[in-house]
Amino acid sequence: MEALRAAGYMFEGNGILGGSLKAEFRAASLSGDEVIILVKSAEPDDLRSLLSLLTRECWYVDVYYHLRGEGAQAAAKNLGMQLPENGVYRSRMRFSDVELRVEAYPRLAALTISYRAGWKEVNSGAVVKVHEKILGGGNRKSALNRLLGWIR
Amino acid sequence: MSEEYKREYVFGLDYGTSDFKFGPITLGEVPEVIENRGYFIDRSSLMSRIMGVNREIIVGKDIPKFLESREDLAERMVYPMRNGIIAKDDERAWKIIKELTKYALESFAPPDEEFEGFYVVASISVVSPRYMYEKLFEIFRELNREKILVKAATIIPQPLAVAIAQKTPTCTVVESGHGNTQICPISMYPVRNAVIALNRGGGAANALTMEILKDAGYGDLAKEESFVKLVKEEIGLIPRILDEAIRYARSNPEKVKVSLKIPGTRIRVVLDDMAWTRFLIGEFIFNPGHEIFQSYFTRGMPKPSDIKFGDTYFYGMMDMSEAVITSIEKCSIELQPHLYSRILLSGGNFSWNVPEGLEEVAVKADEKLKQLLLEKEIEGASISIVEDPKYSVWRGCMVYGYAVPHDYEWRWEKMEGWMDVA
Repeated sequence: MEALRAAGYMFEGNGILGGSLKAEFRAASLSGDEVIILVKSAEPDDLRSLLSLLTRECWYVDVYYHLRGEGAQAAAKNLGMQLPENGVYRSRMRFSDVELRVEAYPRLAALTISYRAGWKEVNSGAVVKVHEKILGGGNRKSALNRLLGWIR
Repeated sequence: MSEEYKREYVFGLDYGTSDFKFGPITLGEVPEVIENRGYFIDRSSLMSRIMGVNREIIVGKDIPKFLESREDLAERMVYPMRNGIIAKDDERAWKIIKELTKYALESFAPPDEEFEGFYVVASISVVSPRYMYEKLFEIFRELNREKILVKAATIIPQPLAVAIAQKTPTCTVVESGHGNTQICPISMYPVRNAVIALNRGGGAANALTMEILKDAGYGDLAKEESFVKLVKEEIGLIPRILDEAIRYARSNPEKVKVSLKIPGTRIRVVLDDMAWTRFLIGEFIFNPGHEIFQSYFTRGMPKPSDIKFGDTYFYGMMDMSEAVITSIEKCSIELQPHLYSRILLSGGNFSWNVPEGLEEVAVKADEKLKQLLLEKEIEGASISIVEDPKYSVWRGCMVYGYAVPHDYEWRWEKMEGWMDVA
């Protein structure tokens, strides 16, 4: 929190504001070594700035996207995968040198895509590329669903 | 089993009186929602044998595909948590709870061998007796006999989940769903002997909407609850002060009249001369004792009655502000100002809109309660509707499951921790 404040992010209750980024602290472990930050909306560059800051303070950050309905179908299409018709499917794929974990929930027409980000993924620009791949390049204002930060 | 595993597989189950909200932590803000109901199929019927339907119960989004005649509907459709409490020996209701739980967990259970079950945080009414906790743990164990779905489970009362989601250790939570309303002061833990339960929620407003629709000439359509609920949500209004709102509606009919087209049908509901009745729908949630409702009761609308379930009384006609005051006044005097200073309204029954142009006479739920408390000389109460009130219990489940260490075992005396059910 101190690092975010020092970097110019504003706080409103649990909310975190910075440029186009709107996020909030959702939960923390009792030991205080982990925290969930829910990103409600962010331009790709502002997302990258946040992750850049977090990966300096944390061992790693797990980034989760959860998409439903048409959003899930569009993301699957962008990633070149076919959504199965039944069951729950988990698969892995590489994109921009990042290993993405994809979980499909056909009964609910939903998709969760996650990956682990460190300084390498942030500095190489892979974070922005993955973001645009999942949400579509033209949809730069789309909401991210969740970030998990493992604080050092 | 590591802490890291637990955090990835926290799973929330909110057994609401009308809707069942569920999903893993990876969903972020919004859980999956299905109705908290199940349909018993007539397996002896020739058609179900010809069609190869071999399930006893249908839950979830498939229910409409299996519905038979309206007469059968009443007998075969079961809403297990209508009052937030299930009787110990109500086998049909418990079967549905088991089926709903299975549906939720199977929808997200990954197929790989790494998966050893979810860490389930279930949330039920604060007035639920201990046997409901025992029964739910038993259901998790039974499900695991077919397929491992639950590693460990914990159960928290719904108002506590709301307080956790808001990170507010001292507050009064008013959680109002379809079937009932729970008023629960919280000071780190729920103050159980101060809990007040009302035997009314969104369902009571549905009943009144049904009467209004009948009076407006839509008697045939008013028999279908989903239709009535939709109309209530679209046209219902909470009046700041009912008598003033009715006067306003009668002298400004063009501002209050409404025409609602039901999506996907040719049906249109028009309230013109009777537009003032829109305010009755919201008022009934807060103050069913207003004299104007007497004519509806006289004509046969069921009056929300006082009922007793186990040791708990559910009051039917007590007005909302009276219930809040009665609940808070059961707590220590020192604590009472703190409980008034943070009143959280949660649950789908508090999601009401104020249409543009009617701000003078229509209000949201928090303002209404504040007004009613003021009338009873409670000044300075701070009331807020939680963000997305329908999902706040599920969100609290996520925060709780994420925070409680995986090796913190369940203790009956405190009703907290993880019960190993694998």
